[in-house]
Amino acid sequence: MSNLQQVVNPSDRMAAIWTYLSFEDCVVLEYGPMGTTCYAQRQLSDMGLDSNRLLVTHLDENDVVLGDVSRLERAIRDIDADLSPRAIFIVPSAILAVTGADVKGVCHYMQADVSAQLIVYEGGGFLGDESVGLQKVYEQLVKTFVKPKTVTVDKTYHILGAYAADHHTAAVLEKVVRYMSSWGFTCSSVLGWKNSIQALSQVGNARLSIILRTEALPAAIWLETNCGIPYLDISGEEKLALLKQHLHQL
Amino acid sequence: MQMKRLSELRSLKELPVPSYYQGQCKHCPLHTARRTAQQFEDAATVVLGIAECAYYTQGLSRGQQDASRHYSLVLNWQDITFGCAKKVEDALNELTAKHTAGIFLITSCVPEITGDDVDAVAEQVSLKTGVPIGVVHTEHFKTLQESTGTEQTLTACLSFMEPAVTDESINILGMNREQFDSSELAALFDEADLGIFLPDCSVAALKTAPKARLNLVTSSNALPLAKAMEHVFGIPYFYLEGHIYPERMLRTYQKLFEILGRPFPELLLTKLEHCKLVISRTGSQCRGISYIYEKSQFPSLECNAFLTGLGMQPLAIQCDHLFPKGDSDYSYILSNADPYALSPLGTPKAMIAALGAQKVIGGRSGRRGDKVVGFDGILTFLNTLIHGEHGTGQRQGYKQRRKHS
Repeated sequence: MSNLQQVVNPSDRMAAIWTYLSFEDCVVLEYGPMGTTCYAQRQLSDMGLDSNRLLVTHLDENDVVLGDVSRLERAIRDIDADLSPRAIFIVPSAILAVTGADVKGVCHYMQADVSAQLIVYEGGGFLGDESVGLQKVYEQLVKTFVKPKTVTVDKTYHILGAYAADHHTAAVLEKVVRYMSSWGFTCSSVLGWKNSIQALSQVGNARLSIILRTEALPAAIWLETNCGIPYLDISGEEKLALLKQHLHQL
Repeated sequence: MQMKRLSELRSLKELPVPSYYQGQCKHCPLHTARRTAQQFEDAATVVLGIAECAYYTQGLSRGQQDASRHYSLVLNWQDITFGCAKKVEDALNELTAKHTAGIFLITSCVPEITGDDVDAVAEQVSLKTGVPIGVVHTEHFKTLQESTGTEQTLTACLSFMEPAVTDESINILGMNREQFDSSELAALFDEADLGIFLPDCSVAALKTAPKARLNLVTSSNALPLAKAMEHVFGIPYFYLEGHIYPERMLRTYQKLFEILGRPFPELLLTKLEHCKLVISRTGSQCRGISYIYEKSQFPSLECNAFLTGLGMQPLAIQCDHLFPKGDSDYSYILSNADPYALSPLGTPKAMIAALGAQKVIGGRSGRRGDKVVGFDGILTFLNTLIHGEHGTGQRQGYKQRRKHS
């Protein structure tokens, strides 16, 4: 089979960046050369994401050859001081995945110096395609930010698996939210779409999870196990029909 | 880190970095390499790298005629751990059957780190199949200059050339036909004089490039290729370097026509006089205006000495290399002012505001005149200087620029 490709799918790392950027109170810091960031920034407006929150450290030969991480440390401090985000998502590039830089270790000791929560996405884009990245990120976000259930707020639900790079997302969300409101349900958070850390952290109190993509299934199962939230899987083609069917059963 | 004056600067490491994180990014050499390779109408291109580099460079072909000639070879963990030479060899073997004119193999950061000898693989496949393959190395962590990709792609064109019997033609390196026709050079040469235009040609035409008697280099990106062609094929080259001082530009042209063994054209003398006239008018309009210099198509020191000579006040100058202390332009600038030295990574907005500069010369707008050579280049620069296209001290974000455009 030919290895040459004329159509390339986005990598797991790209899907992670696009999903992280859906949090409006956070920034994404790419730790790597600025070439991919430059391309990404030019594409973000088409997805309705804010390119101003995608930042990069850049890298030079010293960082690569000698393993100098001071650039990352300073960038984290500067971002925390200048922009005061709720969280900084640090996404190391493929180069650092190859050289084996311990970015997680750096963030571990840097966490004490900054008020923003530091979250690292590892893998460098070698884990697989966007599907792998989405699954990993949804699970990571839910496990990191969702607080334990304190009370079940009736008639509330949240959506898992919205993906900015999917051009149907906005239309699907609108239909789902409209239909659910006809049942008297209110949406508390959409993971992967115009979200905030504050909204995500309260997801544990919701009555229901709705899954738009199969990649969000592990996150939904985690929420079911840890917060007792049942989920409706409408990741098939006919999302609204599936939703109606599930709700009637419920 | 404290700001340094130009006179105090001993090392580029002393330059204060605007910030350790960047919001507005520059493209990588891979982008310009891909763009340049795209211009060779019969060559196939292969990008060797991770999925992200492949995805974004594929995007450059979207809706373009060359989409069928662009391929990607995506590296996975196995290729990183055990090497990608076999994968590259198989891919090139497959591609040479489809695209017999020539292939550009463009490597990105990751294969440059793993160190796979793709040059040797390409040479081996090329010898076996007879299809020329040019390897372009574009490691972004070694340079901030995106134009390195263009330079590397042009240099890789040497792989497509074959020895030929010399005729009287002159190759134009670094400029396409359209740019040449709209420049002042078009009036200086007959059609019969002209050889190939690089990068605006086919791989088939590239093969015959060594028959030229002279390579006229109009862009610094083509200089390494011209030097390599001189070394391999014995073709001399002349670099038509841009100068902001009309007298220096005149001397450059005089040298060119000495080499060509032709009388000096009257047209250039007329252009010289016109430039002098425009400069005298510009001087009165620009006197006293303070500026921050980022980039232009002219050598930095020369351009700043010229602007200082017009009566403008340099507040800060971007330094992409250490300026030679004994240079006459350097001494001239310091005799009038001692501006701050800036990092090539960019000028922070806060600094522009704090310095109160009335103009920012260069950046994106400063590169507009890159392809305008000779006296026309001087006139283009002065025109943007007067009409404020260089900037007004207020930088726009990417979104604002898009909206504006």
